[in-house]
Amino acid sequence: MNRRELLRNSLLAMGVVAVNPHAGARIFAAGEDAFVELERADWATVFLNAQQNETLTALSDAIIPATDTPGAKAALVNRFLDLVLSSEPATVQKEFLDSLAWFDTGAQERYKATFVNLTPNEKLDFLNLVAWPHTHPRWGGTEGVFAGYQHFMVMKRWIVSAFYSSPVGLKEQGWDGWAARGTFTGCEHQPGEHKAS
Amino acid sequence: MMFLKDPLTRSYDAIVVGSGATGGWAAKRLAEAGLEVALLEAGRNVSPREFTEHKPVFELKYRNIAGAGDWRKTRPVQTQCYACTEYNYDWFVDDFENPYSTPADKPFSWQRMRIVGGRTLCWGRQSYRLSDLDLKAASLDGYGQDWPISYQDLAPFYNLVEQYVGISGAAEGNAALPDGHFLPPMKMTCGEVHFRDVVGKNYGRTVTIGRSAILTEAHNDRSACHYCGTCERGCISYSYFSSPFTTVKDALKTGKCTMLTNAVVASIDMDPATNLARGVSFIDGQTKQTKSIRAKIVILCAQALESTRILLNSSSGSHTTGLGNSSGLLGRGLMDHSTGAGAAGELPQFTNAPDPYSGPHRANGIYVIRYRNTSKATRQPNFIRGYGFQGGAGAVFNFEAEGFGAAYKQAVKTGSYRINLGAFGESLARDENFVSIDPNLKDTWGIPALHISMTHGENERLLHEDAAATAAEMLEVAGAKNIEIRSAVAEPGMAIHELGTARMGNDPKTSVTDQYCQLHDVKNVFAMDGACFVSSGCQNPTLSMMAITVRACDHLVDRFKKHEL
Repeated sequence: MNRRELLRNSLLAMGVVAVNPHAGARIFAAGEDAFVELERADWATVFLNAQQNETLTALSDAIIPATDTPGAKAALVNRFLDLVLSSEPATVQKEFLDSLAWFDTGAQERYKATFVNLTPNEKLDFLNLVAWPHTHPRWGGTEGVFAGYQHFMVMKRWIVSAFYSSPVGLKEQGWDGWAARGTFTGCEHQPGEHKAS
Repeated sequence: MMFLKDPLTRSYDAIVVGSGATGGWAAKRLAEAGLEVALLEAGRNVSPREFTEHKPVFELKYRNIAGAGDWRKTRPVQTQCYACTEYNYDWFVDDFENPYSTPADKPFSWQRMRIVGGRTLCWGRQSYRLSDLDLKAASLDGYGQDWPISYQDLAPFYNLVEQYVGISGAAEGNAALPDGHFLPPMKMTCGEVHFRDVVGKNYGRTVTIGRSAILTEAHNDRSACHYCGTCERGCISYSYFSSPFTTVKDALKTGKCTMLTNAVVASIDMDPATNLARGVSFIDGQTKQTKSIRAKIVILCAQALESTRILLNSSSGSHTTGLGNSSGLLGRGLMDHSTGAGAAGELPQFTNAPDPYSGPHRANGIYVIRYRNTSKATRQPNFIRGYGFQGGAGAVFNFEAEGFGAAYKQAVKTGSYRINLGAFGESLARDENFVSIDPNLKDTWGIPALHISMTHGENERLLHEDAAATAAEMLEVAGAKNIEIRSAVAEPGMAIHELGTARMGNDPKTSVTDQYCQLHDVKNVFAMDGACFVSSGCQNPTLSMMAITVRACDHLVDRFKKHEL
């Protein structure tokens, strides 16, 4: 099926509904787009306080920066997470806020500054400390997982989910605004000459 | 005009309860044969305008992430199903309106939909025939009962259903999984071709492309798949089989079928003088008024557990423990394919970058045909029956990459080439796995709810241990690295293949229905869905359910026309 046929089928389906509405059906209005709400000029947090929002914005930008493609700031990762967290259970909210707060307390301990006020080199140094799985010896005890890594992973999971589900993140994965592809060619190679498809 | 008359004031030839895979077929088959049919569906109608398969995730308020969204609070069980999402959750039942109980130590995940089409809107579409290895398994290994029908009995109806539904797949000539009438198969990825060749060469096992109810070419006025990949959110081109746009549509087109939605059937009404059903009582899902409808025949296609629930809730006269329960077996022998075991790893010889958004999405995978206990040579010392694998191989983004910054973004894009196999194992029919009516629990319409008591047993555990080990060895021989093995058996219900509880058989003392799904105890009541299964095989069951339904309907029509019903 090509795109023209798909569009025709879509219109036919809409026509079916026009003469046969069904009470109770949950139907997304044409053009309904929750991302537009995040882009509003008068956007304000609903869950985070101003400092938390600043820290989250800085942290998301450090984890997924703009490179040759846009990063977390352009994807409004902080705004989406503010909305999602507002609807999460209290235990999830607490885990998120504890991990977010750790970045400020951790930065204070090491650099006498909050995370957003770290210099670029300090930020890099700090993230290099926490971003990799490692253990640290405890005097007279067993090894434990470094708390900084655990907090980093909590924040990274949220930020990655928010980024790669945003319009910017989908484009990063090759999305071009069109879902239907028409065909799936699969492997067309001779034995021993395969490559990923 | 006929359609303006109250549909409850007339009597029908047949009432069909449920509009999913089997109900759609029953309505179509009977209406096309000239019977006047009332098709009752507990949920509302569905519209193609609800389909969201092309709606990008960022347009959703919560992007279906984690636990956000008040709707999740109403569906703690349903959200265990991968297909129940922020896009389409209202196709699934509200768990608080539709409660059931289980023993505290026997959780069961009952994932279900109440809407025209039922679970055909979201099903996995994998379509496999049973063989005599399954239907006559008891004769082969001594466990349980044989089905009263053989593969030869079912084969013509598999043909008929496949030719209508449109099943894409490849013939393999493997007796454990009979070939059918296939549309052209979907293509395999390079990693899958490699895996198929290596496994065939080293073990003599058959790896084939999934046999799927997705069209690979135009068929029966439906278009070929356009490979967007999210069938569980609907399909604007109707390329996967779902009953509202195929069988139900055909039934309604005859002018012989009247569909009533929001009709929550509570029980079957009996005429004590004749010991025949005279219709059903149902609750109007919106007004909660009790209503009744009359017919000469009642056919239950409400989903295995719902059909049995209706029978159990239909005690009257001499049927003191439910309708069709003179054997005491109604509700017994609950099955759901055992899942959970498998293995996954990387195929580092394939190095290209993932491209899932600009490349096509194939809503299908590979299938490894059962190879355990298929002959003397493959007989296992510690478990009976067998398992098949579903899985796939391809390049995926590496969101799990370590680190941060530009290097992390690049690592995600570079991705990895992964392969995964997940087992579906036979679930033995054991009478200690059962459903009954919970005397202390009712749904929001006041209908007594089910108590479900099921665990997978030792055979399933040993079968899955073997599945995990053989999955890993096959991946290893294919050159996979960083192999992760899973051997735990998942909670019952997670296969969403509920079967049994009103099994068919020739002996009324050891079965609930005859081979045509007719209750032994009440001659005009039929249970034509998964409830009649005697054993589960390891194949996805919907194709077999549909074939069994068509066979039963054709027999019913024949007898109806001879005035034997």
